[in-house]
Amino acid sequence: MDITRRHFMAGLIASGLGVASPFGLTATIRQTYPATLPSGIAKVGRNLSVASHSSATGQLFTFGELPPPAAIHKILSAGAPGDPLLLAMAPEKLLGLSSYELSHAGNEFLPESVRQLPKTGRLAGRGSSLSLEQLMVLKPDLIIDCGMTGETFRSLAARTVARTGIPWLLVDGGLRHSASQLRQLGTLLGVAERAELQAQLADRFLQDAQAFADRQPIALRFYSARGFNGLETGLQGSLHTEAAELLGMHNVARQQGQAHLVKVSLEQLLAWQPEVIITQDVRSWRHITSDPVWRGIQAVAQNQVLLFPRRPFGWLDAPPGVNRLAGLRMLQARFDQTVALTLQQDLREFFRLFYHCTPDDAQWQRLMSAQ
Amino acid sequence: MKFLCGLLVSLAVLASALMTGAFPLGGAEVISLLFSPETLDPQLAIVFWQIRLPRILAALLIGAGLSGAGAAYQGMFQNPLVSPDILGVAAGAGLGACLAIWLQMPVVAVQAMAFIGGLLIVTLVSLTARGAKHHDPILALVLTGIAWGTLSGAAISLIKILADPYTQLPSITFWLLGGLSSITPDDLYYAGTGITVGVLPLLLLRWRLNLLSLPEEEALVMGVNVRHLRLVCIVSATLITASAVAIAGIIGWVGLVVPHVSRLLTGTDYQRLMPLSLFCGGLFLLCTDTLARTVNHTELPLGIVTSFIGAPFFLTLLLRGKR
Repeated sequence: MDITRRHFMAGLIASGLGVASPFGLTATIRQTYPATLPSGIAKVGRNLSVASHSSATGQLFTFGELPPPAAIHKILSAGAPGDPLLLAMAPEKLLGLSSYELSHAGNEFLPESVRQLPKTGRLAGRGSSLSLEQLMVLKPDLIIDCGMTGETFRSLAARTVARTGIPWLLVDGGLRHSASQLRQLGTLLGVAERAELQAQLADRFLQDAQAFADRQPIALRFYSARGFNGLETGLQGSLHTEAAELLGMHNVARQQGQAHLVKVSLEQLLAWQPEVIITQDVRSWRHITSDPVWRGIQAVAQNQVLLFPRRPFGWLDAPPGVNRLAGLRMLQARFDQTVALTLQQDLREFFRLFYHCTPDDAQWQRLMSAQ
Repeated sequence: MKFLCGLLVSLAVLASALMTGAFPLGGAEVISLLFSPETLDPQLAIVFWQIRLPRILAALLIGAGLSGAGAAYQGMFQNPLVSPDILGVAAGAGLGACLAIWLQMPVVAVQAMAFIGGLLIVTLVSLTARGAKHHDPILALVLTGIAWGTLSGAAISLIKILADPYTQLPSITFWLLGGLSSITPDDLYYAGTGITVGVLPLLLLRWRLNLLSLPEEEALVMGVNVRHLRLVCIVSATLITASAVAIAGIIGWVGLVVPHVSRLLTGTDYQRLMPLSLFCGGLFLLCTDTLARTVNHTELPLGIVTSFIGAPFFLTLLLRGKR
């Protein structure tokens, strides 16, 4: 193509516009936002600061200036794992749930105020379903995200704070850190008393799980079934199988250095021969227990295909949040007589503290019969 | 000589596919299973007859079907870069399956919805193209195919946004990537029937497929009604692709690349091109599927393996600029 004066001028204007666009702001962030967050405070953008508090048992990253607890009236949940956590901590301050609507049938046991919480959408960079403009309309005092705290998620938080000026709190979502997660967040949100009760219950469930894991001479081999035909699973170390692994159980699906969802074949499962299959997908459960080929797997032949409830959130997974504490307890009760004795009380206590409800007997039975 | 080489290669591929897999079931056991099954553990029989053999047969059938459909379409559209998805069948099937997964339907319903979705989109494409009377019929078909395909793709993206990111979204993603890991004998029976019914007309009318590239009047002089032939071609290819996608998800590149390889081997005459395409397609998918299920404990999605092999070939073809 010949370079004419017109082309040259057009190119000049285009590059001028490019430099003046929001990407310029990105460059500023890249300069001032450090690759690994220091424990001090670093300036990002105008009047915004990035602080990181880290401790040995859990990690909490703060982006922007956190308001004092008394000034936090409106909280926005940025993603699905934060929904159960914030619902437990501060339902009265919650603007809505990022990924769930709890108003549908089957959730009648929840308080009306919780069932009426709107679905606000998730904030996850380009995968966001909540726009930044909508975020400005909602005007939360604080955005809280829970889950992975890698560089991607931290830079995403820093960018959103730089553009909106709304402080962002990123909480490490590991199940084993639930108690410290609850205590730290409770203090920051000014609900330390409620958080302490929840943390104590979480501590008890987790310590019992650890004790159970330590007592096992040989780890029970499990497979976590997902998807409509049960052939999707979480690899060992993934968020999706953390509850069972905390009990010392051995995930048959493992791959060096990887911890994500994968597809496996039935032939591979017949070679693995897991002793227990856990699932919270009723379609998986129906398929596994009715298909004659699955009978060749030890867990199916010995009726060890365990279906977990999934209300109001999945008990084992989906989302990978504090909701998994209930699944952890239920799974332990299956193999631990002492825990089985008090399971119903423990779970009711969990529902009272975390979901602020006390289901009546009929509701409780519906809740527990996952089918 | 060529025939002998082909036979030897295919026997070697088939034997290695039969004797390898995650379950310890090797050559000796397979031979015992075929000749004296009563002496073996019944578990081995289940692995062989219910899992491994249906999967191998599905790979052969789907590979052959997609490749045959691709060859027919490339002739019909007179374009070497056309695949069986050109009229939106895969996108339509994908939409049907995604909708079923999103609505939490069981396995059979997901497959049925995929099949119906594929047929429905191609019907819509054909009807819309017929309405565009002032355009060349082939061009109208391609353009409406792209439009409906894009629309289905957009609807799939919408479902992905609405789906639960921790349960439904991974299932949708795995489904769209394609794979033969969950093929059952029943799947093979239904989809196999669909593919066979679709392949037969293409195979029987293969001489006439040569005439598809001629202008309508010229073909009519030779006693062939191109419109009817085109319709037969579309119906057959759609039936093949919809059946394949329903049980195996979207497997790209087979229908695009294999007909080219066959054309390089035998020339453009459909008398020989069609059978060779069917043969090479089956063999190619069997090879890639054997690879996908044996390189790791977990399954490599078949769409990825075929694309990794197919895409470089496609690019070479594109760069060479041959039409």
